[in-house]
Amino acid sequence: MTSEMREPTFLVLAALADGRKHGYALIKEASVLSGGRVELKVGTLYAALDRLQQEGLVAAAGDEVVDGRLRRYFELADAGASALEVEIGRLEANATLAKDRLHRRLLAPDTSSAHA
Amino acid sequence: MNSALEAKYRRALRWYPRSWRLKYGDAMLGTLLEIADDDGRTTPTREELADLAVSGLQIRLSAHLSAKARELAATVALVTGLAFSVTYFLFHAWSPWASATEALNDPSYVGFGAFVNPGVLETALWLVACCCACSRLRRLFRASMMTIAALPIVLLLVERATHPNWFGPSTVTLVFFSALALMTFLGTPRPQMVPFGFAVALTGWMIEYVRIGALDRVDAHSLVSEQLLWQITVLSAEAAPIFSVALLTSAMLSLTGRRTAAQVILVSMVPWMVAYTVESVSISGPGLIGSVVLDVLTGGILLVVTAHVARLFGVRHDRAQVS
Repeated sequence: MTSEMREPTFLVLAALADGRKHGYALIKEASVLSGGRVELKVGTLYAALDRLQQEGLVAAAGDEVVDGRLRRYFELADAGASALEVEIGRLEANATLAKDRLHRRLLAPDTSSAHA
Repeated sequence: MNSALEAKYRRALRWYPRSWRLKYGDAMLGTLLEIADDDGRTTPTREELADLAVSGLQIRLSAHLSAKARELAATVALVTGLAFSVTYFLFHAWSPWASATEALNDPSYVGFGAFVNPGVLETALWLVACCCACSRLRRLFRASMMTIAALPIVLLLVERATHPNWFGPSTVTLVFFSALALMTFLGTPRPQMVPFGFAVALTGWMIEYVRIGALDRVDAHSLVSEQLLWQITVLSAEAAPIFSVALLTSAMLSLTGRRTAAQVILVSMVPWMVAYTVESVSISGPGLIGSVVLDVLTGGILLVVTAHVARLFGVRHDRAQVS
C-alpha cells in the first residue's frame, strides 16, 4: 500500500495491535487512540473491517455469544502489522520534518522589527 | 434484551444486501445493541440510522462499482460542482454583472439581496463542502451535500410561488447541482486531487462559456444566458458526439481491463444525462421521455454486452486500491 492510509483504517489497525477485539471494543479503542476525536459508526467500522479482511490486513478471530448477542472478534494479520508499521514510519517522518522546520523558525532572528 | 430496539436495528440493516447481512448482520446487531445499552438508549440515534443507510447503499453499490471508482467519481462530482458553482456565480449571480443579464431589462425583476438570484447559495454551499472535504470533516461535508441535493426542492417551490418573477437558477441548473451532490455520496472525495481537478474543471467551464458566446455571437455587453448554456452544452448537435465518445471510451476501457476508469467515466456522465433529460423535456414536453429512456436503455445494453464480452475473453480487471 503506497497511498496514505485513512485515519479510521489506521485507528482500527492500531486498536488491534495489542490483541483481538470485537466490534464495540474496537469503537471504544479507536475513540481512546484519537483522544475522543473519532467516534466510529457501526456501519463504517464493519465496512472497513470487510475491506481490510479482503486485503489480508485483518482476519476474523472467532465468535462469542454474550447475553444472547453475537460478538465477532478480529485480529491483526501479519500484512496488517507491516502496513501499520509503514504508516507509523510515514507519520513519524512527517512529524520529524515538521518539528525541524518549527525549530528552525524559533532559532531564526526576528526580522519583523528590522522591517518596521 | 429490548426486542423493540432489536427490531428497529434489524429494519435499518435491510439497507445492506442479503449476503452482507448473512455475513455480518448478527455481529453488527450485537455491536449496535451493546452501544445502545451503554448509552442507556431504547431507540436508535438518527446518526446511526443515517450511517447504516449510507453504508448499506455503498455496500450494495460496491458490487458493481469498485471503491476506487466510487472515490474518483465522488472527486469528479465535487470538482465539477464547485467549478460550475463558481462559474455560475461569476456569470449569472454576481451583482456587478446584473446589468448584462436579461433579468434587469424585465420590469418585474427583483434581486436576491446583493445578488442577481439565489444561485449564490449554491456557490456558498459548494465552497463549504469543498473546504470540509479538504479538511476531512466528513460529517460536515455530507451535511453540505445533503443540503445541496435538497436545495432544488426548496428553490423550485419558491419558483412556483413567485412565478413568473423568477430569475434563476433554472430547473436544469438546480437538478444538475443536485445530481452532482448525490454523486459525491458514492465515496469519499480525495482531497489531494481537489485543487488540480478544480483548476481543470474551472478551465473547462470557462472554455465552454467562451465557446457558447462565440457560437451564438453573444454581444460584448451581454452574457451567456442559462437557457443558452444548457441548450448548447447538452442539446446541441456538437454535444451528442461527446456523449457517444464518452460511452465508447468507457466500453473500450472496460474491454481492455481498465474497469475503474471505465466506471468513473460512465458514472460521471450521469449528471450530464440528467441535465440532458430535464432540458429535453422542458423544451419538447413529456413526449420526449420515451426517446430519452430509449437512449439510456441503449447505453445500458451496450455496457452490459461489453462487460460480458470482456468476461468471455477473460480480460482481467484492475484491482481497486483501497486505503
